[in-house]
Amino acid sequence: MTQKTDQDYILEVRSGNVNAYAILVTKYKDMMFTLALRMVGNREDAEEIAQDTFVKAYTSLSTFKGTSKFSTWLYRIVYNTSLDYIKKKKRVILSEHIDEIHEASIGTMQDAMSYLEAQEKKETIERALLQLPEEERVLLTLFYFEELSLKEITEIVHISYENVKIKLHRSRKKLYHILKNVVEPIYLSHGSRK
Amino acid sequence: MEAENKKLDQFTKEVIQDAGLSSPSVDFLANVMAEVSKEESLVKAQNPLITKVGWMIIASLFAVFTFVLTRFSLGFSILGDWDLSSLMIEKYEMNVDIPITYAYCFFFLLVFVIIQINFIKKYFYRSLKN
Repeated sequence: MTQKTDQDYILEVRSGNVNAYAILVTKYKDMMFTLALRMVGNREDAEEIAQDTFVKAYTSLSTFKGTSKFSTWLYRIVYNTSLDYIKKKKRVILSEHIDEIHEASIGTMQDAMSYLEAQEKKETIERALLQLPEEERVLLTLFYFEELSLKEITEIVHISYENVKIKLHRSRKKLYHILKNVVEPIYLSHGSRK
Repeated sequence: MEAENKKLDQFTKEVIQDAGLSSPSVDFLANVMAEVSKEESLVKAQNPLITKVGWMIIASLFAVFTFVLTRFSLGFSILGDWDLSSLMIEKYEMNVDIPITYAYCFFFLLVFVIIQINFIKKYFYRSLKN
């Protein structure tokens, strides 16, 4: 039996089977929630945004032409909804200063990261990500977790291909510095105790 | 520089993959589907009494009747021998003359009414939704 695609479920929803939408929600809820959470920084609001996005997507499903992937279309809606929310709240994110990075220090950081327990590591990374501007958190998630192409990312965040490339490069460096400031002192203090 | 970028790229990938995804609350799906069902019932409630096809049939029938009645007169009147001349307006010598200003006013009033119907419709839809 062949696996049903997103398009199959969309057709079912369009023909009146509302329950088919539950399958799509289940499939994308974690990614949608994560993107919203990385944009707004708190769980309650992220859940509300993710929920609104799924309802919006449902009501405008007839406008989905299928020229892009369904996931890309959903991510674009959650990104725009989160942006609207941020504009309402008028949150200001301070940008980080970027220093030069040396290859050897990346190795040290990898050691330091592997020293952390899985849960501790996850929490540390989440906290570090929250120090980046919202757009950059989303760019990193879409590129490194969802492994979308730069072209697909441009469709979601409405910035040029070159701009996505530059922002990704900058956000990589920023994240590295934030993590370095948090993780290395813990690693070094534990190392010196041993 | 190239090696350094590659290493940073790999490092970032590992970090983001390690962070993984966060999950919403357990009743997230139920909440979304409840909202979706609410939307669905609103859409159904919004369905007009006479559908587009219905209006098209009414318009076609009207056009056909008008055409038949004007082009193919049957040669008799269903009113028979009734003399309705006493009801004719001319008897009262009414001379109806609609001023151009009045015609414009009536036209704009009509436009406003049509626009307002849409606003009122949207207003009720929003209040039902919330």
